[in-house]
Amino acid sequence: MEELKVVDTRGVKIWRSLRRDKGAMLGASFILLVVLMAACANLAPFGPAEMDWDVSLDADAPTVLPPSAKHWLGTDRTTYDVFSRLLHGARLSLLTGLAAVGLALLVGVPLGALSGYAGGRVDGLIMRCVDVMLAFPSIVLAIAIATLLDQRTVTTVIVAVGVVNVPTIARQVRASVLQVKTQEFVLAAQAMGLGPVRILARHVLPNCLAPIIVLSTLGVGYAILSAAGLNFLGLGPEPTVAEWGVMLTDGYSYVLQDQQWVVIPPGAAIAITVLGFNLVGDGLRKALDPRAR
Amino acid sequence: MLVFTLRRIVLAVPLLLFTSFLVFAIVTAFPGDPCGEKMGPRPNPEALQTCRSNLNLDGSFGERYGNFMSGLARGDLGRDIHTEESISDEIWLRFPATLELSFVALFLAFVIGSWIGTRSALRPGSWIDACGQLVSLGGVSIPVFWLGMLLIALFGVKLGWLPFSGWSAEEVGPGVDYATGFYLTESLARLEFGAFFNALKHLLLPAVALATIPLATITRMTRSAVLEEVGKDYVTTARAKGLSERQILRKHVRRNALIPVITITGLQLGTLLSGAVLTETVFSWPGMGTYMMAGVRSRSYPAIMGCMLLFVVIFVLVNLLVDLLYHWIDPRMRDEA
Amino acid sequence: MRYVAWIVLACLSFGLGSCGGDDENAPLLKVVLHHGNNSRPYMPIPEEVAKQIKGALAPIGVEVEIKKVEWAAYLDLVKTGQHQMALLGWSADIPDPDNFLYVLLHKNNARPGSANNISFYTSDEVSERLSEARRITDPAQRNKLYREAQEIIFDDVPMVPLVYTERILAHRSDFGPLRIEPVTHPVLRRITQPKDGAIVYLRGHDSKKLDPGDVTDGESSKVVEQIFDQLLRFKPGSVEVEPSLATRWTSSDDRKTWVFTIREGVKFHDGTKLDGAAVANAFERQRDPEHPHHFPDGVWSYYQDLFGFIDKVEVGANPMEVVFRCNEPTPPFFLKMLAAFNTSIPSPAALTKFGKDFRRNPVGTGAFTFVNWKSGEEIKLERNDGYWDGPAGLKTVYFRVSENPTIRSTRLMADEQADLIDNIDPQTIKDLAAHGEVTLLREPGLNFGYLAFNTQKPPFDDPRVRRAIALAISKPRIVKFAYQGLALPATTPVPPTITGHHEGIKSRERNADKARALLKEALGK
Repeated sequence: MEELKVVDTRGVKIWRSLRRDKGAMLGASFILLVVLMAACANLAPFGPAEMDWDVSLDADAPTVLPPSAKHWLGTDRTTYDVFSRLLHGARLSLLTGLAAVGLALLVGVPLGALSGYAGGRVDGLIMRCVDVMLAFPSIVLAIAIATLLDQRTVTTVIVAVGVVNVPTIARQVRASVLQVKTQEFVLAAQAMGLGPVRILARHVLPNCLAPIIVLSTLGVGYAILSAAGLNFLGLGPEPTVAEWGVMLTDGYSYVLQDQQWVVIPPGAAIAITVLGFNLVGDGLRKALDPRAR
Repeated sequence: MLVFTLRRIVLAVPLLLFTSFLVFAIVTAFPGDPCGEKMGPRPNPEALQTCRSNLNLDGSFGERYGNFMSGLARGDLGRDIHTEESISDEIWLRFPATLELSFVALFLAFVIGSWIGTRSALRPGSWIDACGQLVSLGGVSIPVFWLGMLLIALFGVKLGWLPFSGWSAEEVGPGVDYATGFYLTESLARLEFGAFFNALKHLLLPAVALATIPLATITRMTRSAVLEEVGKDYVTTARAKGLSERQILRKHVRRNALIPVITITGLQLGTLLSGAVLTETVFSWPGMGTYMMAGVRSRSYPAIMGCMLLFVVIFVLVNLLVDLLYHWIDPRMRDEA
Repeated sequence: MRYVAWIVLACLSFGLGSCGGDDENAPLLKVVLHHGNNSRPYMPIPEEVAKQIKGALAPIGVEVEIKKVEWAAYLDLVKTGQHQMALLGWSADIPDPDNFLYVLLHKNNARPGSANNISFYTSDEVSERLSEARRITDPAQRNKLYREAQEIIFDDVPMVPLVYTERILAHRSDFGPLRIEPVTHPVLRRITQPKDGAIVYLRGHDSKKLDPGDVTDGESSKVVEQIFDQLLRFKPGSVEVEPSLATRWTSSDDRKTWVFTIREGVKFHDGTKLDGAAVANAFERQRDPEHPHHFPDGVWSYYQDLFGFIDKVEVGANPMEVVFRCNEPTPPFFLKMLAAFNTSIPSPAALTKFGKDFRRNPVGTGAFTFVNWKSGEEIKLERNDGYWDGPAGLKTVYFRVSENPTIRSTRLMADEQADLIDNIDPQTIKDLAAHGEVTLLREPGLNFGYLAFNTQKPPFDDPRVRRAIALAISKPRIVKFAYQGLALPATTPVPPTITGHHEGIKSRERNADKARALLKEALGK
């Protein structure tokens, strides 16, 4: 009970600090907006890849329809409804971002913890691997992994972006573990003869949570951005899938035809989502680490 | 100092070796049979064999890695599957375009970022500080390829002020006989000012789009460096001596604060070079990014491998250089070594 | 705390929303549609055609998964029959119905691995008629057989012909005269204005190689045709042939032996004299894998696919004669085949001198001489002043590359290093037509784009399923959205520009309800 209470007051403190942070609140409302978009996707007037069958086929009729009462944000050249695809895209973007970071955490946290706690050769080996991966510009590595997987699906993109984020997380976790591991309560636990796994899970990692949370939040935004980039390059799912990056793949030709309504919404949606996670991540950093203020 | 430098260089060698191994391992594991695909359903066995040995597809993993490394030592990255051009020649043909674009972008980011950073540090908490933070955060949040499209839409299509494609000798400076692919640098060196400004115009839109990547880091770094510097004793002394704020800023604060900022800026070069993959695609820029993507699309594995290697080498070397530079400039760092 | 509640609520609905399945709209059938990744004259944006088909099939209960595959891998995939549905097209090599129907739908061409009949359609009724039309020469009788074949094919639906495309060129009006040829690329030799001018032909991609026997792509043959001559050539704007390097010819009664007399006094660009041996060499090097000029890494499939009936080509009784010996009567369109670019006559001396590098140093007898080639950028040709048919009007021809079609149009209109462009961006057609200094040329093409079913594999081994799909597809929509209106809905595999096209066949009108009913019946659901 004692412990719970401590955590509670700390949480409340952080929450208050966040509430006072205008930037973080703005970011949170952006994220909320995107979550609502994702939630409302089923209410969208059209399906994610549903053509409009009522368009005119006359020679002079436009192929790309500007915004109207029927199509709030117009259509693209396949007569998909941009607004509906925007809503459906919110799901995929959130899913991609969260899953990629989840994957990175799943691999990165144990690696980092092992490296930091075990030290010695294990640490050296893992950290050399991390160095090698960090020597790659992230987008280049992501492209290579996506090509390696050779399946143009959402999963490919999630794995590519997730793997690229592993070294950053592993390195951060290792640094935190190194800090925590010399503290008295850990030494005490070791003296009591507890096993390393138990010590790591029960005592060390819970005290490393703050930087991991910050990094993960920022990471979600970054992952969404990278995923959009991969999709834009054509390494993601097929073009009928409603995903913001995919929607921008042919952006260039729409731009040249002055059909901005196809291009502006998905890009703005990506920007707002990523900005949201960045602002909240920043806010969390300030709230969790008083020195950063 | 010498010991430190040598140690860093020696440490970089195994890193490069490991990364080149990883590049080889990844590309070797790429699925598909590029030769079989190229030759079609009824391949000539001899031609298939030539193709396979050209692409280093025969032998055990170890033998192939040996071939790869010995080729690398000779600067030979193999030949393109389809065009049979030498990959290293092709890459060097495109490298200048990427390099000039990255440098101009970096310069833009440095000028804008250090200005915003300084202003916000001088008035922390003011509207300009808030704006600066938003701009820099917005910079990293906006997808570069989308920003590129918007720039094309506005300045290229709507207003028609700036060109948004066509980076070639013939477009940039007709009549100038370029010896290198560095159109901007070379036209300046040859005092062909018409061609120089034309090149600058071609570079501007992609460079602005690309500059948003390092902008946030540079702005933040400047802000904290200037903040730290302003709090120091000598500034107070200078103020007491009656120097104007502008003089203090120009003569003392900026000079001292910018040193770390410059090194951080340098550190961004590697990221930028690869961020160019997206920007180059939007602007159909004939650089390494578009070459690598063409390799991905046409399954020209040696081309992908060559581009990855060059990106990694530059990334590692720039980091090493900045590390050394930083150490050399800031003596405090030496104690850690 | 309110925020937290909101977020939890939203996440819940997010989760529920994505789980919610709707049984009524559950697909009856799931299929994969493959398409290649590059732009062809008959299908500039395959992706958009695929999207239109997917959209048209969704309402009848067919869920389509679109898979885009790199071109070479794609051809391999369809030729070995790994597909269910695939998008492809055909551009005529020879202006004859045989070149469409025999190649694409005869059972002889359905061997997995080398199939051009990627529907793997093996109907005996159709194959017999097509074989018969190959044997006879009477035009009326051949026509009748082709019409019958087209009717059976329409009913059986091994493929859905989607569109016939137009051929479009645009050039600066101060160059001319220029016309779209039905079979070949534009003949630059015929341009007379301006005298001694230089023309920049701006196109989307560079050539791959310029060895005529080893060329399969349009960007290469476009250049090859300017440098080389063939035994015969197409009359201007026509699908009929006239003498070129051959002046006279005779055939035996069984049409198994042909003798051609070669034009006197013709010289290759390297000064070598043209004779019967040079002509025989051009064919033998493609046929015989042991021939010293049959470079092992070449792609010789073009010859193998078209000229399989030739046993040997050799020098005749006098050195200026060449004899074709065949193992079966030559097809009725044999002479037209001798005007195709792959029968171009290269200089034997240059082939020996350059070896396989001939592909980057072509030497022919044509109106233009190859000068140099900067990969990915430019191929430069100069006028051949000693051309046997009189020197060309133009002095220099540059083939340059600009990948973006919009930019090609923009540059032509602005007169920025572009005098002639092809593969034109449909969105710029209006501007080009209205431009005072640009001439826009449009002609119906010799090609068509189609959707092929793999008739050997379920579910498309059932003609009812194929008919249901054909009923669901809206060709006018495909024309409008995937071709920007620059195509005609196709009815049969033979385009209307070819004698033998069956104009009585009309496409099925889209009827989603009927299609769904038919599909349900076929699937027993």
